[in-house]
Amino acid sequence: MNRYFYYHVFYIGMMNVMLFVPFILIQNRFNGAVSGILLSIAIGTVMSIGTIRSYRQFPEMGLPEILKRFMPPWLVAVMLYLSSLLWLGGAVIVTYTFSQTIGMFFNPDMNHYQFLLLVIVASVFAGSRSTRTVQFANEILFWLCLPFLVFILAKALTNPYMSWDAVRVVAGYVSEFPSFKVLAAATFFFTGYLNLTLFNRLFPANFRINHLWAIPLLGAFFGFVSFFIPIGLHGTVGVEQYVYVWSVTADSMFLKYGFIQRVLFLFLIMFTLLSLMFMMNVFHASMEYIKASHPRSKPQPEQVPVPKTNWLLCSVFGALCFLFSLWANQGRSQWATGAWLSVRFLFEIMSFILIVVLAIIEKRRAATRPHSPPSSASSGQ
Amino acid sequence: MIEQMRAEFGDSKDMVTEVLDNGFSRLELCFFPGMCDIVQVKDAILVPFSYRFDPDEFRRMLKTGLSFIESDEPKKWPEMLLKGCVLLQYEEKVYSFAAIRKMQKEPGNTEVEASLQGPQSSFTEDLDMNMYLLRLRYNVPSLTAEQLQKGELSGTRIMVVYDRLKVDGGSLDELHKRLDKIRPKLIQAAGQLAMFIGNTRFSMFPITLQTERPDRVAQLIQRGKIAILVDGSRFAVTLPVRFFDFMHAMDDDYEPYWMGRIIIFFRYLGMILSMTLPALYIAACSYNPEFFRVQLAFSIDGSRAAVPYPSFVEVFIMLFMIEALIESSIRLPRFVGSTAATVGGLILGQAAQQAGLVSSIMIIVTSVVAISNFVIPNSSFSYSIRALKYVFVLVATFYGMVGIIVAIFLIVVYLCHLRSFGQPYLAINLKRDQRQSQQSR
Repeated sequence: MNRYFYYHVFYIGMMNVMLFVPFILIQNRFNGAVSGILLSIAIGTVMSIGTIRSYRQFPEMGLPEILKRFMPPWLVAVMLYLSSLLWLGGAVIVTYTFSQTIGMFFNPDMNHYQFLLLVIVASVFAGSRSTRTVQFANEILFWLCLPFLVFILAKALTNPYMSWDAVRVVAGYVSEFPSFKVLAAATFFFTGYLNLTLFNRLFPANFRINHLWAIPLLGAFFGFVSFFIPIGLHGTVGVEQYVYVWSVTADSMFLKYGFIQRVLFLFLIMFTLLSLMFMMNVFHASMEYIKASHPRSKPQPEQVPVPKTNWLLCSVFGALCFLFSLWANQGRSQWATGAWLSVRFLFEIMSFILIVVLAIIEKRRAATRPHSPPSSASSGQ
Repeated sequence: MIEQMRAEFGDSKDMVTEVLDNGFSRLELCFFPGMCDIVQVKDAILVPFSYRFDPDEFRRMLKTGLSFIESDEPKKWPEMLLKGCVLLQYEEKVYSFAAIRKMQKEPGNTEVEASLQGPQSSFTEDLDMNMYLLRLRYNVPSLTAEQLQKGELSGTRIMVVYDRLKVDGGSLDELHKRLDKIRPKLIQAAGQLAMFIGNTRFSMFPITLQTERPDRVAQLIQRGKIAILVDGSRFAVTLPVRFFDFMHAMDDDYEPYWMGRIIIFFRYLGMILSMTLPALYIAACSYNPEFFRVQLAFSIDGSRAAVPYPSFVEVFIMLFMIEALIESSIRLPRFVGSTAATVGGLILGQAAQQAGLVSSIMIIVTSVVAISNFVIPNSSFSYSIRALKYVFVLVATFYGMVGIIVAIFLIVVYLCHLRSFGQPYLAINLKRDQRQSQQSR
């Protein structure tokens, strides 16, 4: 059960590459990126562990159910719409960046929208499944991606052209203070814990997420790897020339043996899977939020066959992705990503405060009425 | 009774109706000689009634004999006759005597799921024999069998067998619900029943597993699954199943652990190759030659030098050839089958390539696809993989390499989405989850 939680931490931590986080950090590598990552480890850990502990008060409940216990339905609906909009923003940006990257490196001649169609159809199909399906799929996809990740990392770290001096030079700028934008980007490495807002429904009562010490380690790992390896391979100054910095970094390595020569393609295979995984989860979470905003809806983690509402909502999300790519270009999408990262950071802080407050209230309620079951407490109002 | 039955069966000529008179009393007899074991009829009825006749003993025999059942409901008589019983009327009472002719006297040999060192016996087309084979291997009182009759015209006997201490209640309820719902006309094969209850008409993967091996059924029952035995079919349907069950051959359990694991690993490799290789070929030729090592790209392209059309046409030609070859060698009678294989092999092997219709690498791809498809131990699953190959070919035709990766993603999600009677189809470490959630409660 623990592992389901950490799969989310994993793929969201890895998604930073598709959301220009390394790019933003590397632009600021001499003014605050290193300290930003260090600071984000502290912030991210506090928020993750705080949220996880708060959710212990609400066994088998997702965010919609929790909000409904404390707030009037219209307020809940507004909040759910906002949060699903926020997540969708992420998915929309990833769809765009992903199809751009793939188009650029895989099939440069192909129409960009044709690619987008493939990606969106895949995400609509995957996102409209039931929560339990999504959870199972996460596990399988994680195990599909892991060998690629380990291989690419081993390849990068043992690369003779990896300049550890460059890494040391950049690490020396640790005393600079990070800007808000850098901090917002760096905390993204930790955002994985937010999946609890939905997937807590599936964890059985009295289940506790263990190995919490792994959260800062994982986040720090993603942060340092995606920031420092490009610097080590391209040099302290050369690294700023690239927008798709990780694709270029992967392309600077090659395989001596085997069918595939360029590590870039392994990297792209991995990121195709990871991006689709991210979009599946985001589409699914947004869909569940919107469904839950209806006052009479009940959480149903297992639904066979897939209801029409799911298809409908996910198709709407897919259409949104399409609309965004009509508007976006390279510059606009970078701007949108930066803005999205900052908004997300603010949102995360607010939702953290909210959930902690709600958990404290819940605890007090439980303390005053120790013997009453939770359902009667809410229906008695 | 005789007149009634004659009327019911429209004076059918294969029914024997006889009034026997041995001088003391009369016996009316009615049966289908084709469906009854005539030796049993003779030993159990004719001999005691004719030259060993003793009225008291004969009456006692009718009352106490295990296979004599008194039946005073005329409505049930035709059904009994059709099942192979003998109806006899003696002293105004009607008895049925079960002298059902058995075609199978001994277990069959495994034909579809051969095994090297495992048991060689398989289910037969006789339900009682199959039950015996199963009880022999799963010899505990908790093995429960429910008998049903399905099929308006065929009236096929069906046994639902499970271990009631281990079975998953949810799946059993689901199965009962679905069995109640279906109203088939004829049930001739286990696979047909599986189709009816599986809602799998549009599913790309089988969600029930058919097997002819009693040892596999016993093993599955021991793991809490349910088996359905159908009279007249040498296959049992087991459910709920998981993705991994289809890739498991019984030999894996009879060989040392690591050998088994290695073979299983190769089987999965074979499955993946057989699904994706034609698609990879298209991607490598038409979209992403740079994906592979330069030398490899050159040799693929060099071998295609004489081929006048795009790669996907080539792939479709060769895949059609190989499918036709496989299909014909299954359907054809044994002696003609080898001719088809030889001719087909010649065409696929040399001539097509020399004529410049296909590249030599495509021939290798085709044979790898065919061979590795045979590695899959379950035939309905290997059909699925055969069909899925075309999905990959299709996406690769339009999208190249990326299409293949996205298709893999979609198939993973689809497999996770499937449920076999309420149980997840593809999920790993599920046992551990269940244990954990039980502990925490």
